[in-house]
Amino acid sequence: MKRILSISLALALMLSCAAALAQDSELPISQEPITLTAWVLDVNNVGIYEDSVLWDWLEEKTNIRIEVTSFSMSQQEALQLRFATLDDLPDIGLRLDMPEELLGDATEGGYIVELTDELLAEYAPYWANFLNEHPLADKLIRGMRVGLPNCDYVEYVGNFREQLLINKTWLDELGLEVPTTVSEFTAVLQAFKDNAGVGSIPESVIPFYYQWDHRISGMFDILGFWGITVTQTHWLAIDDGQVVFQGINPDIIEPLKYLQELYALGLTPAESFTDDRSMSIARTNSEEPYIGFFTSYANPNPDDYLAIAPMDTQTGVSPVIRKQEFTRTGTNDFIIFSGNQYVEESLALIDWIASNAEATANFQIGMQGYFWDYDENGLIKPYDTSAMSTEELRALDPYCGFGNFIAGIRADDFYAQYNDIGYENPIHRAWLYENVYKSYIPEGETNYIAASTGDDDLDLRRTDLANDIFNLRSTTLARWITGQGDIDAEWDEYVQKMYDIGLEEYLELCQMGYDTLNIN
Amino acid sequence: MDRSIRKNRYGVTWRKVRVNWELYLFLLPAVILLFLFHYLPMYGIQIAFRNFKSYLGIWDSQWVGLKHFERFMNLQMFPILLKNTISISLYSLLAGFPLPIILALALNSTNGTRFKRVVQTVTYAPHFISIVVIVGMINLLFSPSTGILVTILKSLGLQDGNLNILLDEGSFIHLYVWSGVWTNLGWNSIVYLSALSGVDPALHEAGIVDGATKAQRCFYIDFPCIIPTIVMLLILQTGTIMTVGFQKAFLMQNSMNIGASEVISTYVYKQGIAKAQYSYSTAVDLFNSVINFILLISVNAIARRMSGNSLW
Repeated sequence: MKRILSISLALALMLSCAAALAQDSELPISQEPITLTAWVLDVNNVGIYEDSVLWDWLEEKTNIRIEVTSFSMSQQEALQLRFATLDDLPDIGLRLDMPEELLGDATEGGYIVELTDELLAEYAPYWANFLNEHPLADKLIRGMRVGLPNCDYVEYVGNFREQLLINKTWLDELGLEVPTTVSEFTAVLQAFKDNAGVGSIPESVIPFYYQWDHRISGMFDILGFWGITVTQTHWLAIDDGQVVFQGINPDIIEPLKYLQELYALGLTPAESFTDDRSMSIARTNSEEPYIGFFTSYANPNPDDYLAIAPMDTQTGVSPVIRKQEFTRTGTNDFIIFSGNQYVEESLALIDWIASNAEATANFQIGMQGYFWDYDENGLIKPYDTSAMSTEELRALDPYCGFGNFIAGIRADDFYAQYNDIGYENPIHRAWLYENVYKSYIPEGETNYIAASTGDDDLDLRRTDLANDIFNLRSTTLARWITGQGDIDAEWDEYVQKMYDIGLEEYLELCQMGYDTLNIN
Repeated sequence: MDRSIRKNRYGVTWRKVRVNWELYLFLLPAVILLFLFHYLPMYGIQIAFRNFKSYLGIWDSQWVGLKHFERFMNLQMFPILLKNTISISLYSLLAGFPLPIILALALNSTNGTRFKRVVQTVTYAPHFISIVVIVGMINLLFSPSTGILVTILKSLGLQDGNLNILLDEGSFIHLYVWSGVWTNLGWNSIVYLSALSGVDPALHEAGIVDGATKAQRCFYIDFPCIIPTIVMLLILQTGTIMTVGFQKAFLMQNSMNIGASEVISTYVYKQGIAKAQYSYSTAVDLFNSVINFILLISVNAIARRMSGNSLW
């Protein structure tokens, strides 16, 4: 047995080396040193893109230097307007979060190089093959491939969105068990409230905090307790290939009544409806915790908060957890502008990054030696940074990976060469996915991904309808939860109103767009 | 018109320019700026009638006529946007227009210089606070369960449970308008104070001799003297009826008050500018501007007829 294992490991090592050698034979990508200019929108204001050491490493490997100009979120509108002038554009665009309208216009006008199948097949075959096999990642704008996406296919990134975090410290202080049912959950929240000011529970305790109608730290996962999938503020989902609107699904009545009950008991604050995103982040990331339960992608305070499974409603319905898309709905993490003199080299560069595990690890996770290294089996093994202080992490900024700020692929090829230590760490999403959340993933494709219908006028019509439907749904549901209406008495009128303002037409247009994804 | 009269009028005009050429030279940079940044770009307004594509430019973009206007007016939300915009503007006008006048009259009638200065400073200061900070202050003050106001009321035993001002759709307009009054009260009174400083002191002396009280002098001397200023500012204010500031409405919006807080400017931002639909947002803004212009001309004509005072 030991012998078989050793031989297998040796073979794996040899294969990885061979693969690495094969990939490295493509280097350098350019015989002459070239410099490409790039723009990036620093959505999180981390300030790591311009002076990153990764660009030096990339230049050393490929002979291509990338000079990045980073724009902060406060400059987003200015960036958009500057982009709209189509003047003085860089060579490449990394993540820019540009509206599809602008990207489509720029590509139609020849200012962005359309990444045709032929172009990709010749200069970026790895990408061509990947997109061919993953049509949902290949989102076109007006039938044109404008840029390349960032895709991470590891299950614990894509298959669940938020951890359900409960304050374990308070549970221990109060001698309470981790709740598993909705009634136990309510009792725990009530206990948090009743013991405000006792032990480490502050007077200003918020038993359950959520930001209303937000996909991050929102209340969508409460709907999941009743088996309902809502992933985004459009409240659209896919059911057997059909686009459905969860906003008029009668199954949402019970969870809405539950949220109403929690509100009436004072277990959720009214600020859930008035806080903006920055306030929400401030509350959930408070140094001294004062929230009993909330949901979050990452656990901001593992010392106090424990990730728990969704609650059982004891109605016979299986609870579900939200999935998120494996790829971002935007496809602008790598755009080539037509002023770029080195289109082939640019494509070859991004293809090499995607196909080379070391490059992928560097750009997605961080620089080798600072964020990861090879283990004894030649696999990429990330360092455990969870114990690092904020100052220590900030010191690593120049070596930080870019994540979804640059096009990339983390799929089977990459993960075959990756030793994910997360599966050993009980606070890591990998471990949590395997041990807590996996059994709650809904079957099949449930996430609606917006896509153009192919007709500008229809897209605009859909936008207008979406706005009306969003306003009616959000306001009505919020009124019910805050006790300003009667769900049972007003439900039928609400549904009828939805149809009156064009829900049916809206769903047809959404279906039209969604269907284009599957027939790429 | 008789040619000789026309020729005379031109002659008189040019003579005046020649005589006062320094004043016109002083005016020239402002006129050039106005021309370059306000009149010259006006040709771009045509994108409201086109399907503007940045790569085609303005002149080569497809002409679509009134398509964007029709789209806007056919919106389910159109009546709500119009109603919210007009009601917020009218309310702001009714609440915010008289108060600076009253403040200016009161300050002008005050003898104590020190007191006057303190009041002026205190009333002017909010004007310099950014809108983001103002809205932050509103949120801190009126936050339903943790706000300053609800905390005070609870400690006095006057409130049990949440204070739902921010959650109440009906409260939005009051919060919006009165926070605006607080912000701009002092600043808007400056023009009236300046006008009041031009009132002939002899009129007041005559009034004192006739035994008029301070209030009577204020009402019968000061107020009539600033009527032309009031009328002109009222006309100007009417010309912005359809323009509710985007920033404050957008920052104060939440799911509970969107029925009252969604105005034309916030809608244009979310659906137009953020989604790079420049033709559509230009069309909506043009719609606004046309209505403002019609109102401006109408009110100017009415004011000229009724009071003899007008902008032109």
